[in-house]
Amino acid sequence: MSETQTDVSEMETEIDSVIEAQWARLGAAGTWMDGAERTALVGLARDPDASEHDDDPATVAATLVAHRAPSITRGTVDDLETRGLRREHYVEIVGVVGRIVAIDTYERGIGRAIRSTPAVRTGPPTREEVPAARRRAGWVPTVGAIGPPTALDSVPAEAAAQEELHGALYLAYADMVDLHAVRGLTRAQMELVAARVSHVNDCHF
Amino acid sequence: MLRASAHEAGDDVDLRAVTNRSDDPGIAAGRELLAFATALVRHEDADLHDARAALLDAAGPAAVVRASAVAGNFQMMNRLVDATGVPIGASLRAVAADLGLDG
Repeated sequence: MSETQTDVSEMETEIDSVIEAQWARLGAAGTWMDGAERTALVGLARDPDASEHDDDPATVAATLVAHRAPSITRGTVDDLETRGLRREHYVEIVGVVGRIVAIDTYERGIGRAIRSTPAVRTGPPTREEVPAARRRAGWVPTVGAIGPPTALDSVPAEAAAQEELHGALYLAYADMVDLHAVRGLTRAQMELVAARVSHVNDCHF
Repeated sequence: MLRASAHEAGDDVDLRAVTNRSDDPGIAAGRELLAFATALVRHEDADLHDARAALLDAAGPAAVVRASAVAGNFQMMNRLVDATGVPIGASLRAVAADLGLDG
């Protein structure tokens, strides 16, 4: 690694404190998974050879979300539910896996090693339910119309964590309308990166 | 958002560069950003090393940090929309047509 790249990897940014706290919280119980179940998702998210042919529907879901997300259909989510994976549990998996991939991508981008699996903290899942959440146009329950900011509505802790990370890495939802935002890159440069990542991921959203 | 933000900045962005990297996107350090994002998401570590150095030279360390962060964010958001069935709106279909992705 060159001296200049070492400099980037050692830069302290406002992003780091958010990531540090989020990573530690992955080891604690969530809404539908305990700490051990959530930390197991780190290994699945990092293993491109993980198989979706598994008896455990949670393992199947995590593998698909991490490595083959464009292949997921309404039928996939219906089948996982039939096999015993509650939809809100699936939503938590989507949120946790997405955040693991986001944090790993950031660390690799600036030339750092990816983080060790967080320590497991004991405790039961909260099993918090959101009575107002129901299936609408999407495949998971939401409180209002489904969209990127509302897709995790049925698991409020996961929705809040995603919103926090989105704000640290890119822009707060409230700032999305600011086309002149500058955060190390101009808004147009940020959108160029976003568009290219989406294209490489075969995501047309 | 790319087209709108570039327009606001007075840049004449070429959206085709998103899908065809031989095209110049018309944004400062655009080629370096595209190469960096591609290598990062595809886990092409040798290319990533070179792309990071090129972006650092072209735009500085804060740009490398933010490009990494934005790439991470969209790795998350792409999985979110694919996995939950967020429908693609009509405006995004129009952009897809501009990119040649509507066929």
